[in-house]
Amino acid sequence: MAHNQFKIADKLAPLLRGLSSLKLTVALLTALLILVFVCTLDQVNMGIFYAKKKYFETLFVNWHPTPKIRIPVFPGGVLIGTLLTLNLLVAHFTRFKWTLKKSGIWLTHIGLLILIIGSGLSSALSEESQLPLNEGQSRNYSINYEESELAVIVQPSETQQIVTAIPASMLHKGRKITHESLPFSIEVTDFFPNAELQILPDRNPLSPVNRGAGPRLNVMPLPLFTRDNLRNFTTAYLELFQNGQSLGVWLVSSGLETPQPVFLNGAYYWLIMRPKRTYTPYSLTLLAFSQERYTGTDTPKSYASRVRINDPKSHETRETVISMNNPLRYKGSTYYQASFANEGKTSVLQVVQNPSWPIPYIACTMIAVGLLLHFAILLSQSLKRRPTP
Amino acid sequence: MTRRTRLVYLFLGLAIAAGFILWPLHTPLKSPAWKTLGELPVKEAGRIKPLDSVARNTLLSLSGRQTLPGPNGTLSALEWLMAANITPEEADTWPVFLIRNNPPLLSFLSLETTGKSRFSFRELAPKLTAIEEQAKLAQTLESYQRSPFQRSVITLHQQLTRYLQLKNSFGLGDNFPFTQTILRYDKLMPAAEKALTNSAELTQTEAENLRQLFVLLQVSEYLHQTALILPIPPNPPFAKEWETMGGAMINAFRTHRMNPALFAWSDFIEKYQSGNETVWSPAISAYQEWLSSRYPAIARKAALEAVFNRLEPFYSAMLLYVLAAVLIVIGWAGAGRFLLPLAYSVGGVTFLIHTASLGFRIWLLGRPPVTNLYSSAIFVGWIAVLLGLLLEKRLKNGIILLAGCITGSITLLIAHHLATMGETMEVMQAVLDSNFWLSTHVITITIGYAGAIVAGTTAILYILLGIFTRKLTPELKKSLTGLIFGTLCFTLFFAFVGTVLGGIWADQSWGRFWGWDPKENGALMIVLWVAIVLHARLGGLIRKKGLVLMTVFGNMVVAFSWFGVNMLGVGLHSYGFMERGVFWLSTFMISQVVILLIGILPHRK
Repeated sequence: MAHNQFKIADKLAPLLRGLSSLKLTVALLTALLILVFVCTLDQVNMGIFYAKKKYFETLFVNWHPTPKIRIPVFPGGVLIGTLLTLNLLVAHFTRFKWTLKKSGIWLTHIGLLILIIGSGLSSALSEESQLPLNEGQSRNYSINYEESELAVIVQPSETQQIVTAIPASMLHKGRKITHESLPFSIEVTDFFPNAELQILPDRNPLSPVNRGAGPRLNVMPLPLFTRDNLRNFTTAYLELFQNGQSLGVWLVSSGLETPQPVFLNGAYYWLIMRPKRTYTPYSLTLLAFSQERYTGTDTPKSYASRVRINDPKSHETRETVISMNNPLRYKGSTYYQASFANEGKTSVLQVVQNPSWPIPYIACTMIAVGLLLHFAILLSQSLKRRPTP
Repeated sequence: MTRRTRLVYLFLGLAIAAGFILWPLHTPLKSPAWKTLGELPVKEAGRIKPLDSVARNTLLSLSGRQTLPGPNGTLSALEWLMAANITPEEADTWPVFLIRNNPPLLSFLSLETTGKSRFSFRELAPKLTAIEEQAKLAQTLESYQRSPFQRSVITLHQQLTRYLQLKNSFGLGDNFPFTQTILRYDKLMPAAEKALTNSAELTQTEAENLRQLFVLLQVSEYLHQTALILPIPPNPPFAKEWETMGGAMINAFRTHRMNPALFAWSDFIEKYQSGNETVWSPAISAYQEWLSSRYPAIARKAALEAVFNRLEPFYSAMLLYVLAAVLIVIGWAGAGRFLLPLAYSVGGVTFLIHTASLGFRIWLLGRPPVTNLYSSAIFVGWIAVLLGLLLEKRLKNGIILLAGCITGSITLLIAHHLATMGETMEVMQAVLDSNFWLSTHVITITIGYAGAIVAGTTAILYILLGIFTRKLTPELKKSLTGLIFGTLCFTLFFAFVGTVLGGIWADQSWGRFWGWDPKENGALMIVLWVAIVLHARLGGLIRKKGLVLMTVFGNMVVAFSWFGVNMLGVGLHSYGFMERGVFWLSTFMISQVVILLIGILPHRK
């Protein structure tokens, strides 16, 4: 038995040595540097959102000679981050000694570990969306234009809406969806991550659609746009079934902005593909948007939105101002003044929910203090060794 | 060295520096009246500045220079500005618009493609509509989609617009006696009052007066919309902001209160049109006196800025750093032991000038030292020289001070060229308008740049000493690599803290700590690179030579992070695309590669 253990340790030793080596550290940091460099250059071709996905939120950076084939050509951010974490952990457990002289290094490296883990957490947990508001408009949801959802809406009364939303990421050709709140099942006949819709003078003979707004439309599939300012129109053909009986085929697309009715059991179910919404138990109303410019120029000096928070649950109704560098934090969400549209009639707020936000603050403080400590120790040693003449 | 010789060197250094600094003042101003005119405060591009600054910045952005070859000798920017307003038919024929090596644009403008690079408004005027059409077409594209021709046509269109706006600042040339009519405003007004109560009984003169008032109002509105300069100071409670001539006139109609400054400017311009300085100089002195009593702080600030413009202290400092560097090199070559202390003295005094000028800018703008690319170059140079001076105290062989002086002069040269893109003291965009973050994040990251460059320059000197001289002894090798290592540690700390502070700013303003924005990536690349070098050294993967070579490579990382990412034209940090910058950046990168290749060669024994 002891013999066996010895063997395992024997085999593990070179592996551990390799994992803890400074050569690996240097190689990984160099890989990360190259990754950051290429990602920066590639932002000429694609928006930051997709550049992040392509280079960092992935195990490998893939090369696509054709849309179907992908060949991993370089380690992605996730892989490098994981290996760096391992490298650091193993090095500290095997090579490092805990001495006061090394305290700065320890602090820096622990901070780094927390930072790497925190950035993983943040990309998993944080959600970014937008809240465009016209003056006088209220909304109890924010909108994520990067993602779509299929919503089925029932309106039992004037003031009430029941929404069943299915993320577009769950839709693909052949997928069948049933949900307890829906009296019908949905089968995805076809799905296009991005498409252009063309209106034909007559019914489209090629289209399987026979209900709603779709029969006269032609769907032109497009590759996904990756630039920040181009929107993708998520499009799908849906066939609805009730008790195995087909109710017809609908065309839904985020390019179609009005919901389409399905009349069933004496009630209307409205179908719509739309940018993903995140609902909040409170609403925000834009009272006024103001922008100030430097006199005699077009350079904006400041933007500000005066909004009213209306929270029926906590009986809170108050007014507040959101401006540049002065966000509103309310119940886990933070609202930032991002931009404006519509010649200043629409204010666009950026909404962020990120429960892991304090992590980088803690981690970076540790790293900065660690570096300072370590370099101070190095400096005092070198001064001791060679006193100034 | 005795105390007395030290004093002698200090005085020598002081004398040389004072000579350089005061040199620009010896070029005579045309006269005291022109000096007064140049010092008058006006508002332009959102900032109160002397008229001299407006003239210089505008001429720089159109022609890349601060003076103009006129028919009878060199013209100052201010003379050009006045001519553009008062005698435009003459100013329109002067070669102002810089079109550099651009055959497609020149052939589009039907201009000669060889020889000269500056063209007059008169030469461009026939194509005005065509230029506007092309610029509008090009503007429908995203900036990255535009061809070089489209980018240059947009620039030219902006420059022409700026020139037209400049010309509309003080009237319409000879087309309408604008200022003359303003001066007769009191005499014209009764007709308007009468017309409002009883229009039937206007005499012929009164009707004519009314007509003139009407035209004045129309012209005022037009000038208000198109003028570049706002010369009329506030006159509370009737006018709370600075105004254009036209705007102030409209305000006078509305409030029945003529701003005394509007009257004074009109009076001056009427007299200026005579072309006789003895006629207009009392008018300008009177206005200046009135302004100094009414707005003493503003007038003083503007006057000081005008002096600052004339001194161009950063330019002199650049030359002085070159001088100090040359003195050090000659001193090494063995041409006299007295040169090194003199170099220290010149370097030190220049550093004080650099510091004072930086301080002046901070006071003038009420902003931390770094607000744009231009001021970042000035600040990087300052930190580099500061590091050089501090570390020189320890090493005492001139090498680190030489590195500091070289970095100082090159960064000031970069700043000098960045200044030709126009205003260097522009107002801050709303997103960036936070003195707190400008003075923490921006400063620390810029200190990081400076550290990396000083280390990189020292590394280059190490390579050159090793290849071309026998001075690189083992002891010097040890002390230099130790110095480089220390500076890299300094760099890592500041680059890291600067990057993190940027993250915190982003988290506070946009809700994301890190967004992979190109400028953020650039800063991260410096941190990563220094971390790589330090770990490679620790792991024994590199020794002295490797450390030196990797540090030189760091220059390229910094150059990419500092300037390269701005040329990508993406993200919040891009300050606009810099065509010429791409050329110089590429040249720099190639030069560093050449040095790296030289560095691989074996040292002289």
